[in-house]
Amino acid sequence: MIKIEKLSKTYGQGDGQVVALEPLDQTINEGEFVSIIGPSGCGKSTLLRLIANLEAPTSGRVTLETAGLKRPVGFVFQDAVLLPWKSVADNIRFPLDTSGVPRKLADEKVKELVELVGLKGFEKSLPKQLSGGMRQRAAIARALADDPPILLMDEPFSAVDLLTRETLNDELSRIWQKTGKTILLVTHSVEEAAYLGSRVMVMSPRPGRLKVTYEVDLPLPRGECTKRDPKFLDLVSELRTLMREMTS
Amino acid sequence: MKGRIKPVLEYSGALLVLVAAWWYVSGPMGMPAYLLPSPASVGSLLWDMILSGKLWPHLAFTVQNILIGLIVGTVFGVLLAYMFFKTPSLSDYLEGPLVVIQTAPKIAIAPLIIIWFGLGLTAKIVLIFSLVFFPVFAGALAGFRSIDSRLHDLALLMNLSRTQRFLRIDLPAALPGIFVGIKIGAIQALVGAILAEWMSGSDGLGYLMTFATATYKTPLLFGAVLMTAFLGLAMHAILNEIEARYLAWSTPDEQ
Amino acid sequence: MFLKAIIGLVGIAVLWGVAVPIFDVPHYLLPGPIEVAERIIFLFQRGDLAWHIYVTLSEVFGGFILGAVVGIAAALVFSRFPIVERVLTPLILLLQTIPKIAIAPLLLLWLGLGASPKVALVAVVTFFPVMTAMLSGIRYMNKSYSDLSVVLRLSPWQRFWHIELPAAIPTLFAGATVATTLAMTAAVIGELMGANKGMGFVLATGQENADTATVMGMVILLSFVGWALFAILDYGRRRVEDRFL
Repeated sequence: MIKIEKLSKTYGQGDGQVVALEPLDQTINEGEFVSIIGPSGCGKSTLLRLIANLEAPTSGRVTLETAGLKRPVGFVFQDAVLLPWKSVADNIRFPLDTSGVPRKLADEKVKELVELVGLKGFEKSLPKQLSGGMRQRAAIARALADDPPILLMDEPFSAVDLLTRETLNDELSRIWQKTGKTILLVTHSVEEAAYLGSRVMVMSPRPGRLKVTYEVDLPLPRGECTKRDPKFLDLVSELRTLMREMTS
Repeated sequence: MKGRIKPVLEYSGALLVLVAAWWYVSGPMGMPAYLLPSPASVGSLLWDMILSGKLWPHLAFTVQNILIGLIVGTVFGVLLAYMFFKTPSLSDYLEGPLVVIQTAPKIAIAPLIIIWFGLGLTAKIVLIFSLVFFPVFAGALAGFRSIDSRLHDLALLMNLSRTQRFLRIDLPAALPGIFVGIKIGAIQALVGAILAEWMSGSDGLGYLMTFATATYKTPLLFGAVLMTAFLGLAMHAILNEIEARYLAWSTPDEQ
Repeated sequence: MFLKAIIGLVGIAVLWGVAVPIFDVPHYLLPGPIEVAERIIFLFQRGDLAWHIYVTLSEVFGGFILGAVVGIAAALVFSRFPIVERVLTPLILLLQTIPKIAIAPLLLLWLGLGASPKVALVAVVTFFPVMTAMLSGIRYMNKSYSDLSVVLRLSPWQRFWHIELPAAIPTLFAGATVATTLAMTAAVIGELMGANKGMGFVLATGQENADTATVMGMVILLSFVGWALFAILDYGRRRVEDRFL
């Protein structure tokens, strides 16, 4: 569970002050998949970074049920941020290596993850030899390596081509159902938000704040038929209208 | 002006810290004077030497050699670089050997120059010249090669003579590169001057050092070391000032 | 390019070899290339040149490693504690600007005529380029890497060993390449100013005996040692960049 209370973030001081996020309250339950969308500058990435403790809030607080763990959250960055000097397998094993997991156990886990994200055969490749989509798969596997109950994803698919993106969406949905993790996904794409989320948070810019949330009432597992479901199409068009209003 | 005062204050502060540390180690910490004389004894020795006029000839000798070597080395370095720039086939064959020389410890030719030119003034200036020459050559060549090709077109369109083109377009355009070389060359010049005086002769700061070492006059050694350090700092400051004043056009404005 | 460079090098040697008899230059001023080559071989066979080379190289390596380790450590402290850097920067710039030749006589006074003053001088000249390289390597590192170390809650040591050091390796190589040239020069200066072993010592002895062939041979040998060190590091840098970037 993630409990967000009156969380806000302001950058700069005096006249140069910018409110990145106005006080926000939200409770996210275990096993939920929350999509966060909104135009640039709506504070969606800031929200994610605050939850991950990458930045300190100006006020309010985030309570994680996993706070006692060494690594309360897994994080997937927009660009994969793989270490270019390590192979795919070494990159995925990195979180395990740095928390003292025995090598044999870690190797088994890596093998499992490589299969989960569909990178079999590329274990020994270096990041520069992979396509953007494959790098992002490796980054997801790394984030899952030490099994964090919460996974935060900051526009993870914005740099991959459309076809790969749809495949990765399906796989993320499958991974979510298989592992039962709590996932927060920041995205620009309304289709992606509606297709993946069990809840969609819509945020608006200047100053960044939460505008509205939708519970997504679409059956699991999601797939091609979801995309033809009238409920899905209605939600997408409603979200799109909202986004248009905010950017115009 | 305001921007100038702060660094001066900071540097003075740093200098003060150094002197304080020196004083502490030589005094309260009890380092023997033959290893580390107190700042006061070195200061008073330098002051006496200035008053009695004994320091001036040595300092002047070193500075004069550096200046001559620096100027001659710069002129030849720039001219040869221009030749290389204008004759690409020359640079094809000779750049390899020059790279080897560039990475070599060039100070090693000091003994060779002493054999060739004796122990006098000529040898010292030739050594400084040869140390200045290479960095200026490398900097100038890089400078000439990075000239905006539209300036070449301009020179053609204006139908400039060779000399005009060199003096009015190529040389000024390559000045930033040349200056990078001069700054490295100036440090080398100081190293060459001191080392040459250390190895032979009876003038200059380098001679003072070797004389003081041989006769166990530690305060004199420290005085000479201090003067050398200040000479280096002064050269650095002067070159930075020249660069700031005349080459401001080449650096993007900080905004 | 490489071939032409070799042709250039051979061309210089041939010109030198031909010019000596034609202009009738006295041998004590300019011996021919063959004479110089024979002298180097002689010094290897009869003398202890290999040992002198070993002495100089070990001074260079010892000082280099010392200076590099201290330089990397200093850069690490500066990047973690900006206030330390802020306070020490004027002092460091001041020390960096002071010509290192001014320090050499002091090191000879304090540490004697053995290897240690040379090692110390090499360490001093190595410190600055390595520290600067490491600091800019960390500073211009992809910012997401530091986010990654926060997300993975890496310990300071893990952060250094797994992220910062490897990320800085390309710039470290560039710094080390600059440093090797300085390091060779520092070792030779130290040996010229006072030593009883090392390549600089052989050079100084050659000068005292007006033995031009030995002096020229040592100059050439030193050039190639300096170039070889440079080439090895440059090769290493390119390998690293090709492989990972």
